[in-house]
Amino acid sequence: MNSSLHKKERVLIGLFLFIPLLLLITFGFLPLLEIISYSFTSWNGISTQKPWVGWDNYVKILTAPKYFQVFINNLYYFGSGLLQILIALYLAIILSFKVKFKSFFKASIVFPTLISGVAISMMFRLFYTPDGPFDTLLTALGLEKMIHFWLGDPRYVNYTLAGISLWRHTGLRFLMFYAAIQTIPKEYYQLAEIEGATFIQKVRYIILPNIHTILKINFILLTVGAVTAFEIPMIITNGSNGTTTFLLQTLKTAFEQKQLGLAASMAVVMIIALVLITSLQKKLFRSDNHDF
Amino acid sequence: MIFKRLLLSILKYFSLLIWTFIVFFPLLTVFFGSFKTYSEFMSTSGVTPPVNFFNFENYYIALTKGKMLTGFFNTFILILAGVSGSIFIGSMVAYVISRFNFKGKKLILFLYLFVSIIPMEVSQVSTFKIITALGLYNTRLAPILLYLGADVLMVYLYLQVLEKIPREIDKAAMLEGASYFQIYRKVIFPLLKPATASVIMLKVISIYNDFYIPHLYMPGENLNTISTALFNFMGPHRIEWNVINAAIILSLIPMLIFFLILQKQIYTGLTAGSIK
Amino acid sequence: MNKIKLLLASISLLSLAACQSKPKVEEGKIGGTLTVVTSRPDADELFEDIEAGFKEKYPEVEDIIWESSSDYDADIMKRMNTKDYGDVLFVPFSMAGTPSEYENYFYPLGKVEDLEKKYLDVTEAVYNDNVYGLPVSINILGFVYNEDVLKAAGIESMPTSTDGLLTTCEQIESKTGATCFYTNYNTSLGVWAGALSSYGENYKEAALNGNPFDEGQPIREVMDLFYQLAAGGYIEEDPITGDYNQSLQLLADGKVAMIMRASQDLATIQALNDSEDNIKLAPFPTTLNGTTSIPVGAPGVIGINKNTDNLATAQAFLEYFISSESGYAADLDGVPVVIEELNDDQRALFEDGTIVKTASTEDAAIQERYSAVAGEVGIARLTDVLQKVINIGLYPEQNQSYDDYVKELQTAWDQALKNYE
Repeated sequence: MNSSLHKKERVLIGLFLFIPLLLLITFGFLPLLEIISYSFTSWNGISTQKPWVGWDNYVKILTAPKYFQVFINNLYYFGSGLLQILIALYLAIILSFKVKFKSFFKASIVFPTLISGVAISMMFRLFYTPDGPFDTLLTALGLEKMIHFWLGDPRYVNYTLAGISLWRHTGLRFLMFYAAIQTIPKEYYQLAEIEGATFIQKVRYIILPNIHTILKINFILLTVGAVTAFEIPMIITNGSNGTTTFLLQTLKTAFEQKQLGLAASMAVVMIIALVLITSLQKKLFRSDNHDF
Repeated sequence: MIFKRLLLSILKYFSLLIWTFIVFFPLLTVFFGSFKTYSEFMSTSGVTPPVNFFNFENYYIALTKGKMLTGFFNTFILILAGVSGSIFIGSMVAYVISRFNFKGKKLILFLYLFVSIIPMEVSQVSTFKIITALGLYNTRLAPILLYLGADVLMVYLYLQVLEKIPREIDKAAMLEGASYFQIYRKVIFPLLKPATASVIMLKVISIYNDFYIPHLYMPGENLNTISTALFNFMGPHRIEWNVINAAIILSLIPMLIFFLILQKQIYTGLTAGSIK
Repeated sequence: MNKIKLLLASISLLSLAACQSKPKVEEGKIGGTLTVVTSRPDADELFEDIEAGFKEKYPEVEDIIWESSSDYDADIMKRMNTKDYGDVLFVPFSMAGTPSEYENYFYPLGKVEDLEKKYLDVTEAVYNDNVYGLPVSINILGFVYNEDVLKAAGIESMPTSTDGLLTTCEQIESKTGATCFYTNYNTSLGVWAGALSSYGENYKEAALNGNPFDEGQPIREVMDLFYQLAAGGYIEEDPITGDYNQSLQLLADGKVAMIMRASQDLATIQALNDSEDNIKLAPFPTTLNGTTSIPVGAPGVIGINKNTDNLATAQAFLEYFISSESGYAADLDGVPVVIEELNDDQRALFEDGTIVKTASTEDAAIQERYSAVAGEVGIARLTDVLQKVINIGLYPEQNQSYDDYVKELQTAWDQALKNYE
């Protein structure tokens, strides 16, 4: 009886996992192994020969500061991510209390999440042209003095791009926070009401403690997102004017400069960094039994 | 006290209105621009309304010349296959992982997590070889399989809901003589609805907006998606911003409808599925 | 259960459809299906016409499958790691740096000495005297300028030296208020790589024996020019949001005096204003052996996949595509490739003019070492360097100084030379 159960179990496990694992290994894992093997060559992406160079690529990346300098640009996206969390949390908290036109506000906040990165990049490329809509808005607000070349001036361009990231991603974070807040039992609020808790006390003692897991997940997502940011600078400036991020630099090294071997080792370094950061954060946040 | 309430209330609506304005202002300029002629577009400011709100010329060009119609069709196919695949794979993997103890369980979860934090752009040269070797290049199946291959999110969403379903339910069904598969199919799967709603929403958004994979794997005639059609408007020489604006607006419409119709389910789905 | 079955069934169906291979055509016969990969996703209508014309000529041909990508070079390189990259395709320009690889990917179209009797500019993709790609059309590069603006500034003719250009710009800006030179920062800086041969033949060999960033070297000359133009304020105000279409209009309207483009754009720009004869093409503001020179090159080079199983059709198609029958060159407003089809003006230009080819004619080994070194320094694309130079010129306080940048490149080059001894 028992052993037949085991057999049935095994059949089911095998059956259920076969296709998913096949897909995961073919399209997720195999390519990765190959990238690792490229990283030890000086392959140019087209040659039939892939000369083995050992650790040369890694030595080059880790010793020349210019490869890591671009991480400074990734910090803009990290900052933008922090702001996104703050704004999204603030809006989610407001909207979980009584508000008129709630559905409208909710839909408006989520809306940018539904738009493709390509469309967003095109839209803002126009939005920030000199004398474009943004400058018109500033003029209308009497802020003409603040007008700059938002994409052309190296002092502002990275803030502009990070701002676009803010516009785009706040909605998704809002969605997560809002949904999490909805899971808090209504009784908690009723109890707080009876005890005469203020708005701020409710936020502090009911909402925040009950959504800390989703907050932690957002911090991990934020870090991963900041390290791998590339789409917005790629479409809007193609990395010119000092806007390259680490991943964009990797892609350009591979496909524009034809140094696939070197780019592969940059990718591997980034992957190791990502794994380290994620597991470190997981350790730091490990206070309850949920794993992500 | 009343004064404080009033202040709070003002602050509340003020911040909501400001953010709504930030969201809609850029979109409004795109909306205006989509009705302008090229010379009108170049000579007027983005915030000036178009002369003629019934000038659908740009929309017509975008739909026909810009192949947006083909794009809608292809994107629809990708979403249909990608989302239903995700639902099956996600729920099956999560069911097995949550209900059985076997070797390599942790490893599988780790693999999923590992593969999904890595930006797939970096390994495209290799992925490309695999796709071509399987004869999938320039077929809709290529993006579909890639969407299904390495997505940890769907597995996690299902896992969370599964952990909350008591194992007693499984046992009861088993006592009634149900097989594991029947338990999954008849008992567990229906209970996973909230997670399914979240998977649908997140997958629809990500597939609809994905540009890189279809751009790389199905550049063939009549295989463009919405995103790649949009990107192709940015030709090196012929940038007609007014048509691009119409194309952007067109690309928004299906998602807007999708969201408005399913808004309620999305929130309840995420609510039930999310981790407190 | 049913749903899963359905899904599995549909997946296997889809993959079956995918695996279905094209029916083989008998060797030497023209017919069947042909896949053509191009860099023009915007040319569907044109391609439809070409397809119709080709089928009319060869009724046995069933279908032409067009595949295009706007990020062509990067995408086709990924694809070329497999055997399936179409039957006929544009040769990626980035392969020019490694000519010895052509034979691994492309079918040889003939020997240089044979083909050059029939076609212009056959050395765009050559290795060991074998031609692996033919131009789809010929461009004459140069400064497209608005003569009215020059006249208004009291200038007789376009300058023939870099210093002359700067004086001209100063006069134009102070007397007319027009922008002297529109860089097209986002789209066309790459054209300058083709113009380098105007500044000195065999510059790659010279670079390998010295340093391309030393004064007087072609790359340095172009960099200096851009730096001075940007620092002097003679270029558009905000290049990064520049718009190619707009630059043509501005040039036609006399708000911009000149842009760097090619003969192909003259007609387009002339059509943008009423007077026809004020938009002209001038050679580069530099002299080589005492005369200015006119660089000519191909906006696209087309070749045949060496793994094709429909060679005869591919060859017929290639020939058709580059002839005037296809209308491709005409669509680009380019000079036709087939010598017989040249008109008198064009013939005169190619016979008497001081033409330099943009495609490097230097020895393959030199080109490959040059590419390797340039890649190592990170200047494989001249665009990146020029963008940086423009940024430095416009915002000196936010960047390192131009001298420092040049020094950095010089050092990097010396270092890279040692690595590729």
